[in-house]
Amino acid sequence: MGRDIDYHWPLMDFAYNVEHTLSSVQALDPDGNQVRLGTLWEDQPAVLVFIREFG
Amino acid sequence: MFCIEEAAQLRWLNRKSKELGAQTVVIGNGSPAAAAAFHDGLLEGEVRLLTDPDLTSYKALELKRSLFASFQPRTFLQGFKLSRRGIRGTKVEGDSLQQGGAFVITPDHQVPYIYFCKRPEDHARPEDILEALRKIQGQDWGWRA
Repeated sequence: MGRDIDYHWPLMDFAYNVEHTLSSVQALDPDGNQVRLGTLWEDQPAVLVFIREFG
Repeated sequence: MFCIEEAAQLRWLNRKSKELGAQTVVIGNGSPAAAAAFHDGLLEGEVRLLTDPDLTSYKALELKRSLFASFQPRTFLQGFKLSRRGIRGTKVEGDSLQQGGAFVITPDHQVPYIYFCKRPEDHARPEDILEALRKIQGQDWGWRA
């Protein structure tokens, strides 16, 4: 798509796997409702920050 | 304790990323009840928060999980420095051995930013995430509709 992003193997391969793997994973919101992670970046870029714990 | 400092950074990152047309989502690994408390408390209700108690996403991404990474001398030193600044820890919910990470993913399936945390006090730099967002800012994602 001509994006201005420099990827280098094997990072490019990993980047594909990140999106592909995460898109089907189900997480929970604070109310306990399931959210498919792939919906987070359907309409806009998403910054996903994985934290190690709450507190 | 490190999440208290990280939470302040996340609130700032959330506001800045919105300006660049992206949403920030924090993913933790405690119970939904712990997530709710964290969301309403340290995140001040500002940032979208999800939780993955089974660590499915962490495992899929191969984010580091180890005793050695979690309890290095520099981790205790950083904790001591934070406590000297008056930053105290709260009750921990989640997997203390699990390290985090940060990723930017676009609607056209690109991943322009990847970061794996090496230690508890090691976080992705918000400035670097925003720089990655600036590089893709203004792109038209409507082609997928």
